Amino acid sequence: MGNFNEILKNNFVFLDGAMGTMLQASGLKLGERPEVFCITEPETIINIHKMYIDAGSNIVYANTFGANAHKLEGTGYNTEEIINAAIKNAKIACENTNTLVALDIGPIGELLEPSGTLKFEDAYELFKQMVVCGENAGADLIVFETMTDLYEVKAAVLAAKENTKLPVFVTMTFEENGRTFTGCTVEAMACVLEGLNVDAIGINCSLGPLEIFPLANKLVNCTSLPILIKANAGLPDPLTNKYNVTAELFAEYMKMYADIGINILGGCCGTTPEYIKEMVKNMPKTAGERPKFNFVSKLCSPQKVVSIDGVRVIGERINPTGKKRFQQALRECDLNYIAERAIEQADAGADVLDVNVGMPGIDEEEMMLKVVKTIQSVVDIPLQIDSSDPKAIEAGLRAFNGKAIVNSVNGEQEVMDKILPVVKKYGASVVGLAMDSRGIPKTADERIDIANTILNNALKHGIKKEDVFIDCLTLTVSAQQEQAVETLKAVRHVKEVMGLHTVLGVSNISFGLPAREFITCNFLIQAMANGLDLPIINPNQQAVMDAIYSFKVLSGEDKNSEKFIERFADRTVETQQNTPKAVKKDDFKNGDLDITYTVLKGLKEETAKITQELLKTMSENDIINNLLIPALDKVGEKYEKQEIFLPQLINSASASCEAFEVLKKSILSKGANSVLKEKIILATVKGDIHDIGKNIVKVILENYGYQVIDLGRDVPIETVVETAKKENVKLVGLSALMTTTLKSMSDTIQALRQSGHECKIVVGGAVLTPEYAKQIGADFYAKDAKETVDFAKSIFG
Amino acid sequence: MDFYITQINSNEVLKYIGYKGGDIDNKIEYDIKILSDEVIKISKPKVCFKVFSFDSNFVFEGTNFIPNGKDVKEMLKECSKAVIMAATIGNDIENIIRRYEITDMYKALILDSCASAAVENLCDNFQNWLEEELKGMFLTDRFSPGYGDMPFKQQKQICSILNTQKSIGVSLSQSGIMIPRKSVTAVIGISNKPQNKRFRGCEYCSMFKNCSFRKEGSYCGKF
Repeated sequence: MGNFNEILKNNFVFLDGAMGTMLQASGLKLGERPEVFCITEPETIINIHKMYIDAGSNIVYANTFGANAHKLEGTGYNTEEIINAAIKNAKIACENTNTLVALDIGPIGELLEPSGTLKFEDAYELFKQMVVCGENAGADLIVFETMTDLYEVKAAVLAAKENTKLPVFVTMTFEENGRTFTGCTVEAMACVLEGLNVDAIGINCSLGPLEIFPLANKLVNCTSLPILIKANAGLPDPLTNKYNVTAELFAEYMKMYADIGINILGGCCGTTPEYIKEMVKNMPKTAGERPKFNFVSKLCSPQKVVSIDGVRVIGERINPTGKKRFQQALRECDLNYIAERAIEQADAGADVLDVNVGMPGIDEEEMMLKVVKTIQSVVDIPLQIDSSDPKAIEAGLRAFNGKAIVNSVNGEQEVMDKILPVVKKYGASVVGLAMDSRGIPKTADERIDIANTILNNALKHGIKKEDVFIDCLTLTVSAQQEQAVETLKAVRHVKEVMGLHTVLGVSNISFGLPAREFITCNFLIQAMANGLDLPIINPNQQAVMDAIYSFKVLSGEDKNSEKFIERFADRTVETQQNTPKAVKKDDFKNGDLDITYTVLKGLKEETAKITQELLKTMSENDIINNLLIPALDKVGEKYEKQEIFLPQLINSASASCEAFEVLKKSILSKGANSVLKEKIILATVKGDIHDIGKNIVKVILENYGYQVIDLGRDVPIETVVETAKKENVKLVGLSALMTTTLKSMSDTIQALRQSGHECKIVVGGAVLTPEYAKQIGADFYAKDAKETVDFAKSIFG
Repeated sequence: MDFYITQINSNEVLKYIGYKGGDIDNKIEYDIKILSDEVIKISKPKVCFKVFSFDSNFVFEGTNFIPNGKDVKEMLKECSKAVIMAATIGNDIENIIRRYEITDMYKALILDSCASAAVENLCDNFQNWLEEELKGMFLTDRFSPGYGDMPFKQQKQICSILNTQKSIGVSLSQSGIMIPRKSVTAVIGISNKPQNKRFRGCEYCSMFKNCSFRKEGSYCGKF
């Protein structure tokens, strides 16, 4: 019997070739599940394994690729039965050889959130079931292959690491453009999987050895892990589906991989034992050397890798501290508001977003999970999980699809002991604050001492030096003037002497001073000159981002000043003439542009500006009731008469949303709670993800002053019922687009009725009819957003 | 084999966003044009297909697949072969639409509609290529699960026969929705006789913007 660690020491580890291709030749029909053969035709499977072993495979993949509960549905077999049979078959084939058996696991077959409806946590459970069965059945290792979604890979690897002791290989499938179908890059895969501590990573399927090679060449430059490659037998002909690379050519091409030091090799679709045999026969004695490369600190989402080889901006706006409107959003679980803050900062040029949701009365762990999932559904940049609660940190790291930063630990032993293991487990980077239980030291030297303590502790936990970032701490210059210089001194030392990256929350420097922006920018520039890599700032502040763009020109990072020129392209004229533009605001004072007009025309900025002006002379309620609502009624009327149609209606509603946002802030600043009228729940029912209609209804309802609790799409029945009860909501709106999901609309209505909670239910969606709505127990069928508003008005008056 | 989106029919987009005739302001027409270009730029169009013979019971060779329903069988009555196809414009457009749904619902709606029209164009382009390729043979219309009396459930069989997840990145959700959403599966018959094409919809008519039938919510019934 073979041993995993021994086999990995070989010059080469040869894997097997295709299973599906062989089974089709043995009579498997298209569309049938190959795993069932493990039970119905074990001899066929054993023979295929034996052929690969004879050809020279050191590891064979058991026939368990699609043996998850989801894919086996309707086959009459469950995961445990199939995996037991499959591993047994493979082990029989391996008897009296050193060949190892891998539990082979492919994608679940359903796409995860946010694009799909499968929850990360449910994917984890499906994988857990498989890996536990596999280990019990005696598999020697686990291989996750043909993966295209990094989030699914993360669920899979966590399931394997947390529930078994088996080694884990992961290979993903890329297209020639270097991305998977979900947009994941080779570099991002390496960045995340290196952090999750798998045993080997690589590429399989989709392409032949020639097409995979450039990607493998990239991969050797971004990981220190062993690499495996399983290429297809070339590309299939579109009409005949025959692959175009022969066994001899395949063997020849696979030698290229050995040359760059890749030594775990096999075949995928279209390859047969003959291919493996030729490959083994033709391989040189030893593989070449892997290229040396410098390990650069990296963060990533699946689509975007952020290398910390220059100044990178961390956006600070997702944080309730001192922000009443944000606090209200957290209390009301208004995730859209938070998503907007994320999009805004990403658009303004943030490279990373800090996420802090800690505030009294909020379950931080639960909120962190929700907010991280929300943010990553709308922006593709890495996050910094900002909390002092290890549970909230873990919730954020687990849910985040990519490699994140943890903000933060400090020099207190207890804090480090709690948080560093979590950082290590999820392969994150970590910010160390140069302070401890005694507070913030006065001198740079003392802060540097603490930085050293943090670094040593991180290294002890197996965290790489490159993943430790030090925050030398910004103190308010108006209160402790001598401290600004100490901070800068410490930054320089940490960067130059200790060789670590540095983080600073910059804005704090100017607190309590007038014209804060000047001090903030000046300090930022000095800090960057002293070695600050990761300023935590508000990227929406133009002057601050201008300073960063300018710095990148002077530091040489912005080659040929390209990005600088692009940023300032529309501003150069203004600077030269040095005359301010005519202030547009004046236009509104005289009332020649009134709010009815701007709402009708859907002019967002103008509507917001006019609302600001109006607040000087009118109350929030008067503006809503006497101006906004009548304007919207006029829009609604035009829509009904078909003088305008849906896009214009939405535009008007969006404009008036801007007005509402201004009014909300004004009310909060006075310490009052809300202008909003009655609460209405909106949800796209369980199983359905077509939510554009629901979102249109939401915008319109909000404009009539209703407080919409948007439960999103694919909403579990219990969530609708529980929220309706908890928030005492009297009107619930449900949408469904597909005939297949009308059933779950009907179930949701039934559950609401059975719960005893008194409420009206309005339904909508393309396939619904008034008759069907009645039949499933809804109170009203609304054909569009306008009718929903009318119904709401009729209920609430 | 690569297939592309060559154009987006703006009338089709107008239909999707609820236009029923009458004046259209210039801004909308302009925005449709700009956003159509954006959709074409962002899309990652992909098509996969297989050609099958079928017997008199409509069993597709080498599979257990029988297209169900009278309508699709009626369409295939003069055919001895058929193509099963799937097409998608990819996941990136979904991400962009999701983002706009939060920041700009108007753009989200138009993009969503342009994306629907784009996948139709992709299917048309595939079909034209295929007809060229099968010199002398004729294709029927595309027939998708959920059309007429063909059960929506057959989508699942089609996806597994074509292994769409692996070949073009299309999978089904638990409730049978294709993801990415802007995807199509269909059966197309191959015949040696010319095939009648159905009425393709008002958006392909030159009277689309001014038709008085449409304003009333009906159509001329010519086709």
